[in-house]
Amino acid sequence: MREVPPTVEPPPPDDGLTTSTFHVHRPFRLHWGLLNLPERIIQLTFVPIGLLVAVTEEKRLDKRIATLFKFGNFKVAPRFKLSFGDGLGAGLKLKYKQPTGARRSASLGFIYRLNKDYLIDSKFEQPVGTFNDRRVYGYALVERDVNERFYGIGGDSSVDSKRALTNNHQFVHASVDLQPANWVDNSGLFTIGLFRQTLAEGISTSTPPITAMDTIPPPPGFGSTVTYLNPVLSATHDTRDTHGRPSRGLVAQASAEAMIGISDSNLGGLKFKAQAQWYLPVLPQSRTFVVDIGGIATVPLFSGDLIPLATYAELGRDNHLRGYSRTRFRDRYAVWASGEYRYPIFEYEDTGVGLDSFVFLDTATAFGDDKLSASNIRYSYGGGFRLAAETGLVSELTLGFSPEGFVYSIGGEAKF
Amino acid sequence: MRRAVLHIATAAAVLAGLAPSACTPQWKQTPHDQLFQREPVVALIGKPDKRKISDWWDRGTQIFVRPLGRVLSPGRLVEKVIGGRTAQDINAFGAVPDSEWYQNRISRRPFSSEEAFAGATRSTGPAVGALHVISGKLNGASPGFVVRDNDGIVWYLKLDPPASPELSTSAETISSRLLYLAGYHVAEIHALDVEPRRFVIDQAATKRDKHNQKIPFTATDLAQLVTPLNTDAQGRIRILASRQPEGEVLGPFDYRGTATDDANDRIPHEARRSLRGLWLFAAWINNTDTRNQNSLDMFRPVTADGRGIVRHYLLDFGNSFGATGTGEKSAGDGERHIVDWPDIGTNLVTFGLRYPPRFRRSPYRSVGLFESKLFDPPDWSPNFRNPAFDARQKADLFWAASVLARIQPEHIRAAVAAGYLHEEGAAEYIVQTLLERRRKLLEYGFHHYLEIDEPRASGLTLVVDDLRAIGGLPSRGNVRYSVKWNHTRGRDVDLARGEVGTTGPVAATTAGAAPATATATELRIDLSAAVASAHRTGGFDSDPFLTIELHRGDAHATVHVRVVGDRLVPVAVER
Repeated sequence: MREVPPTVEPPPPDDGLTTSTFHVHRPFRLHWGLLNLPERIIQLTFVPIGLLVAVTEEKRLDKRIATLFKFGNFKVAPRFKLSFGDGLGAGLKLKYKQPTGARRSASLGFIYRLNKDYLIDSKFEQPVGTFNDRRVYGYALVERDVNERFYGIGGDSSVDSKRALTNNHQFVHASVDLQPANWVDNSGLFTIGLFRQTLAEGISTSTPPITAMDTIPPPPGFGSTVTYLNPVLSATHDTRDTHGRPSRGLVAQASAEAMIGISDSNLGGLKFKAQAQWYLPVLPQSRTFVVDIGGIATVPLFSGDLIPLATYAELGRDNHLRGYSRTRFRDRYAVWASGEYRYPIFEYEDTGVGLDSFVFLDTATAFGDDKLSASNIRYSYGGGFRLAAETGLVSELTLGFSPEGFVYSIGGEAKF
Repeated sequence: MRRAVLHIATAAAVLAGLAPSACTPQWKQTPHDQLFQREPVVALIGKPDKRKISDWWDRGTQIFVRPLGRVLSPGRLVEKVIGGRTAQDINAFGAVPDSEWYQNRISRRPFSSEEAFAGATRSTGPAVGALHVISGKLNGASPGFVVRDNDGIVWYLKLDPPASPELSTSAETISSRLLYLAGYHVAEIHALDVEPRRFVIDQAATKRDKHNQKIPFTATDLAQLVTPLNTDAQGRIRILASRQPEGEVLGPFDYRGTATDDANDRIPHEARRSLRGLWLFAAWINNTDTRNQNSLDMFRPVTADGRGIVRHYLLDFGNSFGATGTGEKSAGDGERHIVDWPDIGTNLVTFGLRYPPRFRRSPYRSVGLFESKLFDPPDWSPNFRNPAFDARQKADLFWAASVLARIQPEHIRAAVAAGYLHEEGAAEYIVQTLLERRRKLLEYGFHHYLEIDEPRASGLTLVVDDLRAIGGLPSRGNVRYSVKWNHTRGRDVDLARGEVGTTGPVAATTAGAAPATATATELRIDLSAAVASAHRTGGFDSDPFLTIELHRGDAHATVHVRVVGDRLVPVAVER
């Protein structure tokens, strides 16, 4: 093997007048140290986190911990929920996923909150080969919510009518795809289930409970437990280019849902919903304008029936009026129109994962048989951030403003 | 009272005595700096501790912690307003002395194409015969393994992403040559085509499992690495062989602060012009991964009793040109940090109306996303913040540009040839892209500066290099000059004025180097009349300093020389 030493000339020798030795001049730096003290403090503050990260990397604690929560095809994942009304909630979710082929999955989880509310849910999903590979789903849920907001029925309800309502419910659903597995743009779902609901006085430190003698009429079925038969038929036409960060396409949905009181034959309702969302590429590279319009109509199942609370059209927060609190308006009919402009502000290399920002304007109204009035049209505006991959939304932060104030929400489910 | 008056009088007398020396500029004091100097080092009694920097936390620090700290520190704002803090590893000429960080190479003497081709290599690569695999790395950005050749030399082997043959290996090889020419310490690196059957798994070979525990490295693991790669007509695969530098591995250095256990490490790293100026070279070769992790400190014994010094190397250039360790670069790489808060903020408030440049792929798979048309030097950013880069001043970039200007097209061609690119046209594409990026970087680095460098004397003629001419940039015309006697205790005396154009040839080559091209690259200013005139002025012999002010357009520079008999000794340059 040929060894060739690299050649670099040595510096010329000192001649008395000049020197080849560099003398380090160390400037006075104390003032810089003081001016940059906050930077030092920040760095020191993060030292424990740095140590934790370093140990995690060195010992691969992340993978070791993940292994602890994984048993074959089963995985245990933590769940958290945080809201001003109910406080912090935490729980676990046990997930089963068949690794390849059958697309069979199941989950069982719970969340327990500081105000003693809880939620237990279970989900099952698998394709059925003899049924053209259509998938069947099973879903069961038990939820106790002692602090649901109730403002009365009516699109003109006042913010001062806010009451706390206990809404404990359980349901079991079974669904089946109406479309075979190889359909691309169109899908449908038929669901049949049992829904059991108990409505009672709420418990809250900040909101008065709704009572039978209240000036606000309590919801139908209040003070009792009612079991319903709940069939649902829905159809969807979806031509979006991606699910997580769509930049073009249309989603049109229509559904019909019946709520048939079994234990109380006076309660029964039908709900019809139609909604369309257009994703319009107004500028290149995923600058997208989203238009969302739709409406809900509910009618009594039979003449003289009272419409169950769960059948009423709802507006507020995640439901078309993002600047109002959840379930702010309930009534028999609702229509809405929203415009949202989305644009990317961060792309993680070329992975398709990125952070988008958005600004929106929502308008909507809820009304009864004879109450449609221009004065009841509500609007809200705001913006937020969506962290998403092309395959799906990771998380979304929405800040909404309305004449009634400011509402924020953080979630992992796309509203659009 | 009487005592107080006495104290004040004493202080006044001391200050009066100090005044003349306080007025004497630093550059007049002997011994004067030579143009090329060396940082003094001492052999360390104790070997510094091994360092380990968490890769995850290093990324987290550069993405979150440092930006947060900088935003909250008034010092950073002040630095921005005043244009930053001056580098500390510079002498009176603004030159960086030789050290364990940096070695003046092409700035000291012309290099031949053969030297550019060889770079830091001392051999032709691993010895012929079996390559004994002693450990492997299957996961991560750059899969590879470590082998020992039949001469007992350990080589670190890296592989190309299977979909992009020769992409990373050529990028790393070429980059190491160019950075070597620029003066940085780099490892010996070869791009080689080898037959897979030369790999023999050692009995004790290990790899890390997913829990970072050592487990045996097996034939299956080797197959997992080698099988997906394309082979050439002779059944050989492309590898990158990197030889561990001489000495004992200490670990990466930090681009910020100093190592407390190294007595020679006295200048904060972010205050080193050599590291600040590395930004310009990183932008040139599009090396977007210049983090702590891609550096290496080696402890090199220099005495028989084991005392030694620490040398600082740059490593891992697999993210250069259009490459990353895992494939081609993304369209935004080199334009912004991987998480760039100002960029995100700007995008947010401009509502998507801003379209940052997205670099286009080259037509060559082995080149990837490397281009020069959209490349705009001020906008170039590595993937992660680098404290030394953040501290860079325009003067640091001028210095780096003065080095870059000396890397000639023939050097670039030779370095690219070392990448052994087989794809037709790929090598020439890289050469042309490097030349165009070099032109843009030189214009950027020289902006607002008079492009002269390396003053030296030939008798009573002052000679300076015209960096525009050396760098092949279009001339901006002649340089106007004025010569003054720099009178310490009086008014300066005008001695001469004139205008001078660039003349050749470049300084004589050294033995072993190819003859330099005889192009016009020097400015020569005859000062004999000015010196004669100065000698006729009373007091010049005790204060024999001339100041030559040079102007071209708005740019200017000042060269100070000492007159010693019938010769000139350049002592400082001010820009």
